[in-house]
Amino acid sequence: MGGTARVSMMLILLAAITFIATLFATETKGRSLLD
Amino acid sequence: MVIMALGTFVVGCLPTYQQIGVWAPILLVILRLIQGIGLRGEWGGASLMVIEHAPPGRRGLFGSLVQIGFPLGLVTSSGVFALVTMMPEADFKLWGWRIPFLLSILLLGVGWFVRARVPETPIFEEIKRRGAISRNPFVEVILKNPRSFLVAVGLKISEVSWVYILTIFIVVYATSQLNLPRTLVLNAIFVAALVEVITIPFFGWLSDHIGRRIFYFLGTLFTACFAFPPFWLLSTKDPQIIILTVVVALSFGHGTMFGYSRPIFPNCSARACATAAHRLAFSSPQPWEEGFRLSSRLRWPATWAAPPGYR
Repeated sequence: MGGTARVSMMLILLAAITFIATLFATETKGRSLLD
Repeated sequence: MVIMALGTFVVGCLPTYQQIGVWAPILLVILRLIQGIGLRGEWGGASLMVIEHAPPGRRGLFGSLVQIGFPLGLVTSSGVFALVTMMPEADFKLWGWRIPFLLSILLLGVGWFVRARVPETPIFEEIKRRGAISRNPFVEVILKNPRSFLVAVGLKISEVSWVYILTIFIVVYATSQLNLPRTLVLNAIFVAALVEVITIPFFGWLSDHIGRRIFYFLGTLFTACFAFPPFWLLSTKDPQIIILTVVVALSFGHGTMFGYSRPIFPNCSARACATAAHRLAFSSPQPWEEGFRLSSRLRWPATWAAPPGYR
């Protein structure tokens, strides 16, 4: 497997960042772009 | 658009390593960075134009139609390179590889024609009528809306890295470390891109009915759970498993968060702020991506993706 484990760990870390960002994101379905 | 088209065109005009030595790869890296800046600048604007013209309740679907340019681009570039590689290998290495890059100048004309005929969006006209256009959106979004900006960038990080691991790193890893045929892996990406032409609008359509955030949550969970399995599945060296792996990974780790990314970006008090956050979020990862693409090629023994003159 070699160096791919580090790549996989990086992907998990970046997914965690996006997950956290999603927690702070506003649901925009049905909202006006002018809000 | 001009930056992107000219940057690609000039790659086709570059002298080779044999002609100018180390300056050849240096110039190639610089041009790739320029392409990245041009691509993201245009991409953000195109997404905004489509979404702001979209009917109410269909922004996800319409926004996703812009994003299928990515898989379509993969399919088209693969097809063009497949055609030019049909010529004698010596001719391909000598000058044939330049043809796809030189053809990109045609896109400049098409893009310019379209751009000149697209009217400003109703939303922008409304903002202008209200006198709410920001005079300096870049500074405004950084200083007055740092949270929105950081959220917008954070939303992009996972899918951006995921797609380049799948389309760049895995190809180099599979060919150089697992000794898999290059055509098998490239065909897997080709099939996955074709499937994504359907799945991206599908997820965009779903986001109009179910919501946007849920797919970001599901996409990140999929990415986290599927971070190790692709490498295990590649090592089986079974063609069907490899193709299925890339198809599933690209559609669920990328398509779920990619197709309608613009509509979920948080709105700022002024539309110009949202525009700037969106464009910055798209722009900021691109030079990093291009650097990653090139470093992947340089680090691993295989140099399949570099033009022959730079191998």
